[in-house]
Amino acid sequence: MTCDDALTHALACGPRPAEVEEHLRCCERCASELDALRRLEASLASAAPHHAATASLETAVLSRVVRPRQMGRAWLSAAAALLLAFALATAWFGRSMRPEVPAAAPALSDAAVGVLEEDSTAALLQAYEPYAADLPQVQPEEVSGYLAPTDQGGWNG
Amino acid sequence: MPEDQKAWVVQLRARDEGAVRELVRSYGGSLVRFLTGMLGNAADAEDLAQETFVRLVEHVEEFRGEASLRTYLFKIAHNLALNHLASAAHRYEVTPEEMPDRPSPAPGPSQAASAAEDAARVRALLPNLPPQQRAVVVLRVWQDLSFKEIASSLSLAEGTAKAHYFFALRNLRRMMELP
Repeated sequence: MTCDDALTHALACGPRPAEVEEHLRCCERCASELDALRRLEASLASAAPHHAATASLETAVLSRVVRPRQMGRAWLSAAAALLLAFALATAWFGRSMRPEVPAAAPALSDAAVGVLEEDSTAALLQAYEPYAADLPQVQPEEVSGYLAPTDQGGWNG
Repeated sequence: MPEDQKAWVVQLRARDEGAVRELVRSYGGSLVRFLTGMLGNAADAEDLAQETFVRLVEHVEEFRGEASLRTYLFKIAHNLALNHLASAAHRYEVTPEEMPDRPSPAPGPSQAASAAEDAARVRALLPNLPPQQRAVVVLRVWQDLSFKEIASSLSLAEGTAKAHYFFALRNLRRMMELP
């Protein structure tokens, strides 16, 4: 048995066979080296870094191997939410941009239709009466030209 | 393969969050410790530990259960470490600032301080070992793996792993004796 064999056996194997024991007893150099290597082993063991599994390591691993599928679902939800938000914003914007209609307008519009059907200025004036306060004031002379009947029996304007 | 390990592997195949979390919690610390010994710094070790777990989960169907999951994990980590060392053109020398001063023989510090200095010095010298020897020493001393497990992790014969261990210690001792 060589010195290296004896030392390897003594360091790395379990119970020493008689042959190894005999070698270490007779070879002072090996016995001394074995002591030194055992001390080195102890030094090395005490030099072990102390690392616990960090939360960031766990999160990083999970995000790479587990999250992708859930991320897909999350993206889909986010896209749907974005689309809904866009639709609502468009509807709101469209409504806010529409010109305000005076409260009287629908009734006047109905009255105007009635006038055209009945061909009656009196009916128009009657329909106009309840909403007069809501509408811009116009002096009679400003519109008289338009209201005067033409020779052809129609209206100016 | 033991039943509990078999169930765990099935869950990992399904990428079950709880199983992955348990894997990282069980082996994260020892994996970072092993890789710190291999690479010489904790930041790279944590990055490579992350990669190791990802590779294990992605390739868990290749795990045949001949060895334990832990051994399989160290095998992946060892291969990644060797690739990292080769690709980054890491040298196996430590820089002077990483090398702790040798304790002066007299008048010496207390025995405890001297032991701490020896520990720091031997740790700083680890990167000077050839990667195979370094891996064996770290797995044996810091991970308490048997030589059979070390051999399986590093794809070596058990006798070769033992020989690497002896020569690694002898090399470290010689480096410690250098002025």
